[in-house]
Amino acid sequence: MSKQLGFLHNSEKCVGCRGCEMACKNEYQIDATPQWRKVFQLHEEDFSLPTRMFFSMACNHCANPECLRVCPVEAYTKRDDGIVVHDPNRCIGCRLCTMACPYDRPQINPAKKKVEKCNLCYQRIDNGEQPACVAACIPGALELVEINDTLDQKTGVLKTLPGLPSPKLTTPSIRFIGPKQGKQIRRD
Amino acid sequence: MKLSRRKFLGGAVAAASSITLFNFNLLTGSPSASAADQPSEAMKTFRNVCPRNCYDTCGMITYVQDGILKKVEGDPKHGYTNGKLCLKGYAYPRRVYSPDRIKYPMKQTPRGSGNWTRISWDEAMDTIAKKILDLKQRYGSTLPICLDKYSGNFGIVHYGIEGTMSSIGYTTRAVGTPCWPAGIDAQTYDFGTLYSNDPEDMVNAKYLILWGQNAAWTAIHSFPFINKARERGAKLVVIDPILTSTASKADLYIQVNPSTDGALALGMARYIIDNNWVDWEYARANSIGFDEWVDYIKKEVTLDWASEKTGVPKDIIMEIAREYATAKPASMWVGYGMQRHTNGGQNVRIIDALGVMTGNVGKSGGGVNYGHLETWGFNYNAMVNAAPKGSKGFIGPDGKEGDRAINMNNFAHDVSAQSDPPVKMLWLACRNPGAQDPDTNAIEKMFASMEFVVTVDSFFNKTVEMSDIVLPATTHFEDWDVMASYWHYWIGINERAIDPLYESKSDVEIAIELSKKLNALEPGSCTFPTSGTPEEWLAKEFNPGIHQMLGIEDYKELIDGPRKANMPAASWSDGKFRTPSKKIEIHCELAEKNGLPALPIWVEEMKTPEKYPIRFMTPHPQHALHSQFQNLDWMMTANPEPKVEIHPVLAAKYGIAEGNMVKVYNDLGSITVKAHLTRTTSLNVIVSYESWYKNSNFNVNYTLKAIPSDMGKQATGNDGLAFHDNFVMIEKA
Amino acid sequence: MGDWEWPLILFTVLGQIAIGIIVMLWWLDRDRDHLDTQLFKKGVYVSGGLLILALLASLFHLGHPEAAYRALAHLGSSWLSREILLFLLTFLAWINLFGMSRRQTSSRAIGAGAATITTAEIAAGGQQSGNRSLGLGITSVLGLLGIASSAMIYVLPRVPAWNNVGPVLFFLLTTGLLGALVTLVLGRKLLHPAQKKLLLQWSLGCTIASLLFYVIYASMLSASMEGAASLNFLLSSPLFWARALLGWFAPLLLLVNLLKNSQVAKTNLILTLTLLAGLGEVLGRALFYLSATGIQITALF
Ligand code: SF4
Ligand code: SF4
Ligand code: SF4
Repeated sequence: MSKQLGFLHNSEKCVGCRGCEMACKNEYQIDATPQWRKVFQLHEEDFSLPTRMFFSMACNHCANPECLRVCPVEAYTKRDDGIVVHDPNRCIGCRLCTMACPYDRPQINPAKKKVEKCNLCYQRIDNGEQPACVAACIPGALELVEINDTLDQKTGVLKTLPGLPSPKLTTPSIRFIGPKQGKQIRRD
Repeated sequence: MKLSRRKFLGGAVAAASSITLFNFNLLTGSPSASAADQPSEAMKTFRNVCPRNCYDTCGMITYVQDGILKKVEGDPKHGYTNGKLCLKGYAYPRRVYSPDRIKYPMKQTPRGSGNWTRISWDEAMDTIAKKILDLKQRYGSTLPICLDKYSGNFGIVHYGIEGTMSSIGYTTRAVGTPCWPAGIDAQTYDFGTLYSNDPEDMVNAKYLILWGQNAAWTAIHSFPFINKARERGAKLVVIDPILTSTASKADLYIQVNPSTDGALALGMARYIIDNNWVDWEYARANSIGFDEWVDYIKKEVTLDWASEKTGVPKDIIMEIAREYATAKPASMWVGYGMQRHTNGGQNVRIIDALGVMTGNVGKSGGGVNYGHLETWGFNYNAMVNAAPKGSKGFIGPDGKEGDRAINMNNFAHDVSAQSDPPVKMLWLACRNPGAQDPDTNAIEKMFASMEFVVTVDSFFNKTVEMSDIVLPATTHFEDWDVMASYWHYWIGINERAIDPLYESKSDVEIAIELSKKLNALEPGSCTFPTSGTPEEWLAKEFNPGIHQMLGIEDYKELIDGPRKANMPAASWSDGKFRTPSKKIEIHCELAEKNGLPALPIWVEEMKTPEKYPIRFMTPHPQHALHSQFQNLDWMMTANPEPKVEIHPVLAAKYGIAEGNMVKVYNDLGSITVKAHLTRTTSLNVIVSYESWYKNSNFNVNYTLKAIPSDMGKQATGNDGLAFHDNFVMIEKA
Repeated sequence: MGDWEWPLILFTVLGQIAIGIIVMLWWLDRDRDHLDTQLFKKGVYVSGGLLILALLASLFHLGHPEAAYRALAHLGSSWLSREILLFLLTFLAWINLFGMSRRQTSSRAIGAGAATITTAEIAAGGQQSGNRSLGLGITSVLGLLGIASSAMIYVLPRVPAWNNVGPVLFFLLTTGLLGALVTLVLGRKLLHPAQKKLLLQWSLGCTIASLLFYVIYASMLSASMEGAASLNFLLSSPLFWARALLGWFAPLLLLVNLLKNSQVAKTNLILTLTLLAGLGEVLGRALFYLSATGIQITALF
């Protein structure tokens, strides 16, 4: 199997600071509406105790990218390292990929009438740098990793979290370390 | 002619910058990049420092090409912020190039109408100068002019705002600080001043209590240090009425009854005494009145009482008391939220004493950490200007002539209360009372009664809306400055990375313009110097003390990277306290003299009024710093609307469901905001995060009374504000 | 929930009518004497007009219509590319039909001047007719494949309401129903009563099939959370009930009535019927987009 880069997000470490979200915007000076990366808060009902727990998600550079499959202009390509790159120069704004991606990651830029999404900072990676979001994560909750069996066999590494679409749809290249709750002394 | 603000949007500069800023070719590396898109200049970098009222005061690297700010990054040479910024920091390019920025001097006729007209700097200065001279002539002094400046930009050169006022004579000044004075006074009474350990030293803690502190939102760069301590085995305890993002990460979260933190600390102290975990040696050698306090506790404090008061079970009080007293060293970080109560300062004093009793003060990995001003010893050159000859001032109670101080924390009331002479003109800079002051209705009324209001700002916020003239302020990327932190020990220089946009000017440049105009109209009427480049003004802030502290000989060395002050990691490790007795004053006569208890004993919290049984807490937001940032488009997309967090049980009682609009009100005013049901808050507390959203009237301060906290006068001139003693009623709107 | 996708609604419904007409003409032409030349011409013109309108409408869906040609680039896996290709081919086939219709001799009105027709003319006519049928057939097949591709675009694993045979089935049924009804309208004076009856019976079949399949489809939806959301949206939307009334119940009543009372010649009723069914299908298509609920991240933000 060829190489597949992806993200490892550690919900135990993530404090939901949203630095990654804005670092991405800053890196590419993205317009307001498309949010390449976004931090989500897990529903507190999914936990034994109420909590504020998060995961951060951009494009998952899926092994079976639906965006790529449906795109009529071949704006999407999958690199040898597994990065799914969207080329806005080719995009004609048909929005089909936005319907096909279960993670809502390709988003239309209403001003440019084209879709945009995270390209995993491939230029930075090619320069030997970390993606901007990873470099910005202060608690070190977001990592660039190679998705492979070794990773999946590590204890605590999860393929999905509550509230996420089934990974069967697109085989996303993201793994998680689940949130961990401490003890709470509550008054309710 | 009626010109709307919008008319000024999309000026040539904005258009040019946004085109160059957003360059897809950057992404695709496609050869289609046309020659016109080719940057003519290599990327340059500059050092900046975020000047906001924030613990972290980040070192920044600014990328500039062809005079346009392309992006910002954290400065890797900054040892505390470590090359990373927070979400607000990364949003800066959007602040600089926001189409909503105030671009030119403008006047609004009549005030509050929204009818803004662009005017020249000359006209603006002429209008303002004539008004100043007119008031001086009518009232015989410049006291009818009142300055309200605070934390919008903490750069040292920005103290030129105070300097602007000094240079025209004696004026009325809003004095105090709304945020943290009760805690400052508590530490002043106890230790002589506020002086916290180096936050990087938290890694050495074996036990960590974050007391009313939400670092995840307000001091995110401390997390690596906290986590390091945890990796080494430290336990993290968070005590907070709200289950914050920080509390969600804790090993132990304690949902304490608001305003009862002192009772919790006293309960812990009692258990520590009972088990003789007291560091008698340290406490007796370094403090006065310690035994007296121990006697008080033995007599007055029981665990049952503490548990009853705080809502924390006895066994938990015992658990944290044991762990805190026996894990050596143990660190406490006292947040500013917990002192925004009518007994807030007293609660901090009790927590201070807890630290003393366990010998955690003066220790690496320990401390009762609140903040410090050790690295702020600049010249404040721009601030000090002699009043023009013949200026008449206000005769204070001490018989000295000078400025007339009024309470920043009861600004609306105090401005209106002045009669001899009355306040007629306001000058606002680095301050937005329209959004941040208590009792917004009173603020609006007071502003309406003014003859003339000048505001210096970058955005058309609520205060600007109530002004006659607005002057466009530069952002820190357009200024030279130097910034210190009240938390970490680093100092960084702030270079001018880009030229001032549009017609914006820094506060010092504005003062220079005003001085020229005043002196032209009436020679000798203003002492503010009329020369000096921004960098020269910056250079004048340095002195040998600062040089030595930073190990430099010239401020220019800071261009190579920020420097950390050469101070021990643990505050007070030399045992030289700055109280009158030179010891920790557990028994504090100064406090007693100021009408407060001499000892850190329990003082009852404010009682919930029957008519308004719900506490409305309005802590710091995540996407904003007070009224800064949330209005930017990136923030508006990420966090489009305000919410009020309500416990599901409380919501059910009032028939409120998720997403309903809720009216939050009391006898002072009301706001209507969308409900979010969550058990992260407690049963009788609703939470909404203060912020200024674009095109929204949301403002949490309509229901907030100007109730003072118990302390603040001693060190900051006025007591603080009991922001979190805001009681309301709710109903479905 | 989805949006009001006007360009897509117009493109699919108009395109389907256009191709439906051609299919009906082909069917009527299966025996050369059955299809009136006049009707053939009319049908081809109207169908072409609709096809052009449909293609134009589809451009409005694109952010960058000027680059629409690039949509052909991904035939390997994109049904949208395939759809565009097939529609373009259909259009080419239509141009051929158009050419044919221009060359076609004027209608041989039944019984009028039969004696003057020469053998050569008859032979030519026969030849013409054969070509015509072939042309119609090719256009029909390409068009139907195009419609199936259109439908396949929506067969997305992410959207349970679409991820089944539903889209293909319903798109084809729309083609059948509206194709037949519009052909009826066009041929109200040119069709034999028997042909009219056939078309009406066909329409009835389509309507019944559409209703039946919809019921089965709806009951399948509740299997997934997102499908259930779609269903919920549908059942609680007044639009859906309008669609049911206009597109299913009213046409059913009218069709049964027309057929039972052998009122096949009642032009007004046929017009009304076509209008109602057309509206019903437009609403149905709008709902198709509106009710689509994708599997998505359900966490808060
Ligand atoms: S997350 Fe969405 S956009 Fe990214 S590769 Fe997967 S399907 Fe495509
Ligand atoms: S990898 Fe780069 S483009 Fe993708 S989310 Fe992170 S910063 Fe944005
Ligand atoms: S920067 Fe890191 S900690 Fe902050 S939200 Fe993103 S992943 Fe979480």
